[in-house]
Amino acid sequence: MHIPDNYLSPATCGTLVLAVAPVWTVAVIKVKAQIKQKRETLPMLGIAASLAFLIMMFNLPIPGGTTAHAVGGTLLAVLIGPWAAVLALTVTLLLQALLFGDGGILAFGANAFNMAVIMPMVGYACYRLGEKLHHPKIGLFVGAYLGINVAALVAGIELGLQPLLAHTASGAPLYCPYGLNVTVPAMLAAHLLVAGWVEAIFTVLVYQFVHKVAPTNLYQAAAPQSRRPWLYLLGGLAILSPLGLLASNTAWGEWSPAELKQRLVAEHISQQAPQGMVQGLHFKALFQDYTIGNLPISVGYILSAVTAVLIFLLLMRGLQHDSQTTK
Amino acid sequence: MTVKQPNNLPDWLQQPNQLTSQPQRHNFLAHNQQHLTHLLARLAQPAPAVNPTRWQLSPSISLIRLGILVLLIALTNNTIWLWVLGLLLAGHLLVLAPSQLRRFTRSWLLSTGIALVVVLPSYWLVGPATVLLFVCKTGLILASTQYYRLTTTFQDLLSGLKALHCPNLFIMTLAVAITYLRMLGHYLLQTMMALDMRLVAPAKHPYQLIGTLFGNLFLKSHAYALELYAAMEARGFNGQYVNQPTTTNRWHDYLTLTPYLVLVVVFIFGGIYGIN
Repeated sequence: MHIPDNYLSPATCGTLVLAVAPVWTVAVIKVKAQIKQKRETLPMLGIAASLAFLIMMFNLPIPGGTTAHAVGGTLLAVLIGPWAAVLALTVTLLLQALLFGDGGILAFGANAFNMAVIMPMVGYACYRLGEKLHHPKIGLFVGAYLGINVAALVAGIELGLQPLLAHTASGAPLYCPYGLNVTVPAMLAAHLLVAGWVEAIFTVLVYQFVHKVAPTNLYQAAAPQSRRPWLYLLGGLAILSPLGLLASNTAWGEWSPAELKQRLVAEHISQQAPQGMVQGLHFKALFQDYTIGNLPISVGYILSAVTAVLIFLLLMRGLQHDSQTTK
Repeated sequence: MTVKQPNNLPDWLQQPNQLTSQPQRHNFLAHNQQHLTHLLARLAQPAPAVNPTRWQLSPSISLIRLGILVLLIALTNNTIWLWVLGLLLAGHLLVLAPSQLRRFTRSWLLSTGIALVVVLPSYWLVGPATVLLFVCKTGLILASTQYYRLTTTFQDLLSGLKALHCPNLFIMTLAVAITYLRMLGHYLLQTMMALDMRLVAPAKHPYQLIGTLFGNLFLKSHAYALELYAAMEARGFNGQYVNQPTTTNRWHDYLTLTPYLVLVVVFIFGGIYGIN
């Protein structure tokens, strides 16, 4: 999954570095807070980076007589915490790129985005969900499998977009020559069928061993903080939701068949709207276009936002376990 | 009375009993041992190729130089430009010792060959011109990164990152990682060798063995972290990464960087005059 240099355009590489930079910043802040509570986290970061390196170079046997290797993104997130895992894996990728030529220097941001951010975060989120449902091992297995596959999918999309993003006037690609129709199936097939299972089994087995031998060494997530800031944020966004009305035009691609016909006629493309759209399903929603009765549209927006927030909060509340048992 | 010969061994003991070797069973362990031994040998990095007493570049400048070169190669699609950049790189390669040059060539050809194998099927999709350009660019990028690896020690890399204001936490993590990579690697190798020698009965599944192996490795790394932090505190660690300042001639730095800066300027403004 390590993307070498010259497969991604410098613009893509730069964009992905910019995308990862805020994650690195948050990771450094979070890890500094973690270090204050548990001081050995500081050297543990470096040692975990070397552990990740060794995991990536250890070949595991798979049916058919060949081998594959795990990445250990989800495993590290569970062992040392997700933010510390982001930093440790970033360092591992930098080491591999600069000292061993595995993965590109310009493509470092892309590789970090795929393997040091997406993989541990997706894996850890699934693990936490499994933990809440009292099935941490299942959560971990699913997380490890999903984490590596989502990362592979994103890598496939990054590579496959290159012929569209960077090409000559004649259409010849300047970087990765394969389109999405080749890169996404190629990346996903290998990971869905082989690497994902290897990653998941490896992660669960190591977790099982550490959980049995030294459960205190596993990362303990900090107690959840007050939810009040989130409620303020959601409330503020609900009040601000009518701001979208300032833009009077219909968003691109959200036209009604009549509007689309007007545009097509104006641009001399066609005199009719596509038949499939005209004769297709036209579902009439309860509050079509956020209008509620004869109320002003802005009030309709706010009420719709409050309704959606309340429905999601109720759903989340229903899925949570009771913190106190009733007598 | 017949005398029994006490030296006669029972039949079952006289049968030659050869130990059945099971190369298939632990093949992956042997394979990984080989891999790990190779890595540990590689980690013992050779000394810098260029004699530091004559022309020592500051680590940050060599890092900037690498960045500029890789960026220029990635950005350009002009074969003349690639040729100029190749000449610049070839000039640098001239200062390598013959043995290092041979080593460089071997690994460069290998990595470029791998890149070629990946991109070759696209010949039928996009034609020969794209494939050729891609291979030239990839080959040059690989050559410049390998030259950097060959001429820069790990300590120089850390100094370069420090000089470029990389966060302390990041540099320290990198420094600990490279130090403990060797220690953990040795530990893993020894554990694998011990397992290989002691394992007489087949494990239920090789993956269970691997789970135990890496679980143990994590616990060992946790113990290392505790010891390391105690040692850091004992030495008065204050959260800052400190390394030895390198004494370099600034004029040498500027002189080495000048051709790269000229190329950057020509690349940016050359388009106006049709050079680029």
